[in-house]
Amino acid sequence: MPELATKAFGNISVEPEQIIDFPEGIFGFNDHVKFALIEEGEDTPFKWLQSTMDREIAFIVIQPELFMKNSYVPEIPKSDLKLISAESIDDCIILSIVTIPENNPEKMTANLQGPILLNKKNKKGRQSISNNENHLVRVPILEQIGG
Amino acid sequence: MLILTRKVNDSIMIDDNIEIVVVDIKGDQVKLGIKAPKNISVHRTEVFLEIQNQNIKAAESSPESLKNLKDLLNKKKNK
Repeated sequence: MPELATKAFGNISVEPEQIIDFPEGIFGFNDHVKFALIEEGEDTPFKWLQSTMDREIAFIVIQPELFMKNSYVPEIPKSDLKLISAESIDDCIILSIVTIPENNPEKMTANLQGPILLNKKNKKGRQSISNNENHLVRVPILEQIGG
Repeated sequence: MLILTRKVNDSIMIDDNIEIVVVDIKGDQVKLGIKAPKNISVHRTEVFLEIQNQNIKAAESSPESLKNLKDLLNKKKNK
């Protein structure tokens, strides 16, 4: 089990199946082409996408169905599915990147406009852009769960 | 950058399958039509930049803030 330096947990061991290839990186972080998907803990819906190349580069992510009141299916171009060799969106796990303001955690938001697609079959990932204008870049999570 | 001058209803081709048509011009606004195969992604540049900027902000979220958040959620649950 290889060791990985992480932002949230220090040095931990990760299983090979936790490693996701991002051929094009994530927007703004295009050099980071490998991330590990790490659970934050058993009692929380949050996970971390941790760059395997830099311990400081990590994103908190959540599956939108765990907090969205209404169903959310991103409208994404076929080219993005092709890039990760997925036949349809059903092959993918959808993750939203979470932003937590430093002194205002209750104002945390999830990005539904730029969903992360993970192909379950081959562990390839891609950040896409949803063409539905109701899918906003900052969706307040606590408002969705009635907080 | 290649710069071309076009009039209303003129178009340009990119490869042999993407056509960009100047549909209308009003003052400083240009309406463009894009004919492209479904597998081509077309986005307004500012949408792309906004997602990129949000990613940068998201990457600044600290593990501590996530812990604070969990405490907050637990408090709500216990109310």
